[in-house]
Amino acid sequence: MNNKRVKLGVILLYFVIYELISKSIGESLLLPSIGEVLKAFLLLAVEKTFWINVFCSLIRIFSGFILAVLAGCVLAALSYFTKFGYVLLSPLITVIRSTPVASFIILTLLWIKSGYVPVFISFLMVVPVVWGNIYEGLKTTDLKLLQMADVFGFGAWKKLRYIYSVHCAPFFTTACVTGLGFAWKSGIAAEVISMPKFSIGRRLYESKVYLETPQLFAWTLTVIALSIVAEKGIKRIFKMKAK
Amino acid sequence: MDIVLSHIYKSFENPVFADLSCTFKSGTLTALCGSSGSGKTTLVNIILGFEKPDKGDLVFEKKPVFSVVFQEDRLMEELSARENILLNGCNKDECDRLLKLFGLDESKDRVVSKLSGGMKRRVAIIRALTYNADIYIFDEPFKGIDSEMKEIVMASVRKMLCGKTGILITHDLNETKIADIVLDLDKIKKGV
Repeated sequence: MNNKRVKLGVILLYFVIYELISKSIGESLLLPSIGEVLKAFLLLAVEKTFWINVFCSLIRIFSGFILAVLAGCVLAALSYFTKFGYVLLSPLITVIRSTPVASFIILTLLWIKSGYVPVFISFLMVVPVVWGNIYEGLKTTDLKLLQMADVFGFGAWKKLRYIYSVHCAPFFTTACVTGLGFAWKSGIAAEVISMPKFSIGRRLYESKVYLETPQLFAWTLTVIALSIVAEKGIKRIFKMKAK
Repeated sequence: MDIVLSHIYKSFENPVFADLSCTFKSGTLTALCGSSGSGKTTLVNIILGFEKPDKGDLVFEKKPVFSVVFQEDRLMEELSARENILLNGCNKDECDRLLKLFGLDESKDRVVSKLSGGMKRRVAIIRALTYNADIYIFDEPFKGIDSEMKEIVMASVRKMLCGKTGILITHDLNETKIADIVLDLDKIKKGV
């Protein structure tokens, strides 16, 4: 049996289990059936506001993600190339990693406009991931190749282009794929709490308040679908780059 | 440019050098021989500044520019043979001439990871030969090159390093014939 069929079989199995549980509860308010969720999803998808909400959330989360990737790379380089970079940044990153995301969201709400909170939170959650991976990549760069580069008078650009970037590429891919997942989860959580006007998070919250459980599931389904599409997209980009 | 090593001490787990003194004469190619583990590569690493001696002095007239064929090829595996060589900023025509001479004309655009060990070695030699340096260090450069090609490569190395300061590390006595001077590290260490 090939891998794809196994995966499809497993997904179908989970759908069947879900449907059985939903049927046994028999209460759409607590656990709607797959049919009800799909119906709610289709009803949402035909509305213009659905796409506006999705677009605005995408912009916020990707802005935070891209800024975090850039900042994470710069900070990792600072940590690796400067004497006190790592000493200065390491405790800060540990604090960010271990602080609950909700604390950051509530704190950030006091400082910046609600529309920017998801951007900042996505940024904050992704920076440590990128920093950690890229720093590890830089640290494990082949010392012998660097010695060779020094012997043959490679400048900083040549070293970056032909040695560091090649060695760090898999670390960068891992950082981006993992970071994107973090960005989605934290970004949507930030939207739920900060409630910007157009956002998936706000719609999730409203579905909960108005006890529209099928809509709540439909929005969750949207988030999962977008997250999978984004992850696949980013993996494809890196695959193409590698070729 | 003379390379003068005086009273060098170096140990890792065991002592490698204890009061080693020797001079590599300017404008000569010196073959450095010695048994396995005698410290040939360590000595070269000290000259290159990759290792610091525990004690002793290393004297150059001025800060030298080195060109090296490392024991491991140290090539960029994802680049082609030609790209690897051109990264040292050498003349393209000279690079192509040597690639042809060393039998790599047809493989020059193949990525290094797809080349055989002997081919990689030849690429590393061309890279070192085409780099304008004060001191040339070749650490077992002919390892893995077939005998027919080896003669061509050795002759080219001899010709191109003529009048330049060079150190050739080798186990093979036949390879020492291209050198002006042969130094046996085991004997130097014993003070013979």
